[in-house]
Amino acid sequence: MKALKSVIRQHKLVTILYLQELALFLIIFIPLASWFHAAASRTYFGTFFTVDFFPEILGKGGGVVVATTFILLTLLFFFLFRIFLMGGIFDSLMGKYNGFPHLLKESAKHFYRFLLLFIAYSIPLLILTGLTAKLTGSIAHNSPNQAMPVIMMIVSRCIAIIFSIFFSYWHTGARFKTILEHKTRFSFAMKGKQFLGFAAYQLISVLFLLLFAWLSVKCLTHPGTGLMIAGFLVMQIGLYGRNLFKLASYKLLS
Amino acid sequence: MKKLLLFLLLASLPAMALDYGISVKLNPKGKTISGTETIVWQNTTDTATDILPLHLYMNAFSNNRSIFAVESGGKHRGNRMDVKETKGFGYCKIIKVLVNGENAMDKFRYISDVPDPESLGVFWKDEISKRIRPDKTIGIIRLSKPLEPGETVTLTITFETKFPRVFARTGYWKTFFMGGQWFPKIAVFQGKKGWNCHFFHYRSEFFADFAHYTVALTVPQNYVVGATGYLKTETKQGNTKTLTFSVDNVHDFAWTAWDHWKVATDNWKHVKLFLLYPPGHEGTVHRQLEALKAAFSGYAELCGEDYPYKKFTLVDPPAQASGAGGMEYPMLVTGMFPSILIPSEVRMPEMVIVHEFGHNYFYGMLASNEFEDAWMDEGMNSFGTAYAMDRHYKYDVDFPFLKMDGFDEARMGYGAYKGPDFPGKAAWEFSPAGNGYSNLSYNKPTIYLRTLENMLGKEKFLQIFHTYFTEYKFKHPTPQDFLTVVKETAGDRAEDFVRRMLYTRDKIDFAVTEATSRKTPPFLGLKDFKPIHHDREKEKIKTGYQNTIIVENRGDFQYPVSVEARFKNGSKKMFTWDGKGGWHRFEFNSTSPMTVAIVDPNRIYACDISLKNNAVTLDPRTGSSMNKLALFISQLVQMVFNISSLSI
Repeated sequence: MKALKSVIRQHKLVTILYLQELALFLIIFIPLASWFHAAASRTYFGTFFTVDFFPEILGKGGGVVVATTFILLTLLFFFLFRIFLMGGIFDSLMGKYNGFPHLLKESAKHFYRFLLLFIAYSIPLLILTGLTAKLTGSIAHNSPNQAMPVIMMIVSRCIAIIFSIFFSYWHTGARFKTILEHKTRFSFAMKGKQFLGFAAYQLISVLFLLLFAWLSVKCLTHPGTGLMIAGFLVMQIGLYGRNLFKLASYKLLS
Repeated sequence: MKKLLLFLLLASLPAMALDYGISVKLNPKGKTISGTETIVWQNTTDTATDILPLHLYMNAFSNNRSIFAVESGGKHRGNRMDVKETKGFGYCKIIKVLVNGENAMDKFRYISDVPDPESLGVFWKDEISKRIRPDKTIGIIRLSKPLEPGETVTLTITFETKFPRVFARTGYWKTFFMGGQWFPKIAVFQGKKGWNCHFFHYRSEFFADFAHYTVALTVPQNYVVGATGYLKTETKQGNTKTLTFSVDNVHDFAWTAWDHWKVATDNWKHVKLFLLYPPGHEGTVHRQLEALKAAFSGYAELCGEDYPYKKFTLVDPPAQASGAGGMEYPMLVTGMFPSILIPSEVRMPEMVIVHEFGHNYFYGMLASNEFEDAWMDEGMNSFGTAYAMDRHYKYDVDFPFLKMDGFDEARMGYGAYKGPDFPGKAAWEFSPAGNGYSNLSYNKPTIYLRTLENMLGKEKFLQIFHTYFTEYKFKHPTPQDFLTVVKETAGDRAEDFVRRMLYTRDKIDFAVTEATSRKTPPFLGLKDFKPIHHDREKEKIKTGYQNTIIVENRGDFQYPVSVEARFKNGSKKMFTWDGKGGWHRFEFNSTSPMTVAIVDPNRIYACDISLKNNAVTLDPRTGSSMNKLALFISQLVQMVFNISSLSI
């Protein structure tokens, strides 16, 4: 709880992460909504969404391909920008927040080191989760029991989450070490109690987001503008909360 | 009374001129089945024949050069032919042939070994190219003397069938077996027109005569078997058991055997239903049986008669053998339930069950030639599927925010088709590009028949299908037979509509190209060359709106169509246009401004190729639906970003 309280006090860091996500939302939402409106506004059927009609209005001119490419490129850019921001965030978590310009300065200082650390910890994680998926997939494939694919899918995802927590723990430790020593440092240290607290915050952050995402979908799948706005707000709360708990988990290791 | 009805039904069936007696043993380790088959065939035509062609369709899986392998590219519904290991291939090998008790093995040839196969005239000349060899899916027995009209021949064939690893319809996965196209079957003799015998194609494989079948199947003791026909006896010998099935008046025989099958039973009227499902699918049993019973009721209504046999088996193959799913055989079909996670709102497994059951009407009893007229079973049956699903469930996809029925799906599929073909072609004649076969054999007939139903009204439309079924059940109807029934029941225009659907690319496309609604301007200028005085108050009341709607017929059918104008105050006005002359302008006044103009508002023309141009709104609101969709996608991207960027 101490870590969480501390991050709440440094809520500006959480807000910076969230604002990046909000910017991403707007960059995707505005052109997408404009496109849908432009495509459907002169047509009566545009006033309600019917699936047999919708592909007809989107089907022309390769719009779907353009939109998908735009979304993927935006995601890539934001992903790199997030790695960039994490240098400043980690620096602030170790001390105190000294304003956004300072955060950006620190971010720039550590960008390549953080990029290297991200790649170094991601690759083995991907290999291990891939191998797990292959193994569980093979067990599922060879079993006559048709519940086995579902059981194995759950097992595989649970193992992937456990691996992620371990690698996130080491990755976080490495990032703090890197900030402290001003050069790229790796970490595979393990402190039992600290790790358990870290894992708890990580799991809470994911569950918090999933719960709010589920509520948001519930709102969005029912008619009404009010529910649409509620769905949006609920999702944003979920994202903010996820960032809060995630930073709390980092804070434990600072 | 029931017995009397059954007797009358049996008495109405044609006497069997064809009889199969098959006795085989399954070897699960070798993935083979071997034994002896006795075929008694009578020449019921007025023409003699000196050959007897056999379907040896399992040979389609014997190499990567068969017609099937080349046409399919070794792929079927996302599953791939295993070409790395020879044990993945299958075959049907003829070991011995006796004709009327005399050895005739020297008279037997696989079609690829016949020097000039085209000269036999058993298949279409354009059906095979020299590139596609060797294909052994047809076997030819030359008779020592012609078999005259009315004469009977008895063939005794010893054969071995090796199952391929299942990826397309038939085969094995571990200890699971799906036995389709597993035994030598005699082709259809059509008298002066000769033999109708096609190679096994990627998209078509069915055309055979109705027969009496007696099949004795020996399997290991712990195997559960489902099959066409009625189980007559079950005897045990050591570690094996022999199950004998018998049935009249079917044109194929299929079975499945697995040591893991679980069995659920139910009844629909006089029919005993069996569901063979894999362990883990217990939670899906209710959904599957409900769909099956919905299919029985739906097709009984469409065709006017109940399913006549007393037994039906639905096979739910394991996901690992999904290639065996979604197939039809008499009295036995395979469904497809790929995951227990499929929500009940997504009724694709139900749709597959309804569709495959429906083939027991359109293929099973109305045994048209799938090779040459695929639309007669796939197209009519796809309509039947959408009809039965609509009748029982209303929607195939049934979320509060997304609803879709079978007709929507068919229209979306056909709407995307831009190719040069039409449905009235043989299965292998469709251009491989643009999904022509499925769009034209399945989707186009579905929405055109729906349009016909809307144009004629349900009663008249059902009369067509009732007559068609009554006249042609247990026969081999042709497209002309169906067209004749349509003409006699519903008239020339209906027949012309169906004919053009089958043999042309003619389409229906009505469009609203312009809609305006303007305030009626006050009268200005001179009246009878004299200025007029305006009573402003009176004019305020009188002033209304002048509306114009221009509709175009961009399609090829000159049919009448309704046009609807909707007004701001909620009222509506309906017009009719005869669809002739290319376009038409409607001009009318109203007290409230027009907000929407729609052509064909009741969607009578379900096959209208473009819905986008069917309506114009003068109140360009897209409501919250478009915002919601954009919001949903953007939030999804946001969430993916959050999870991936903070994953470690």
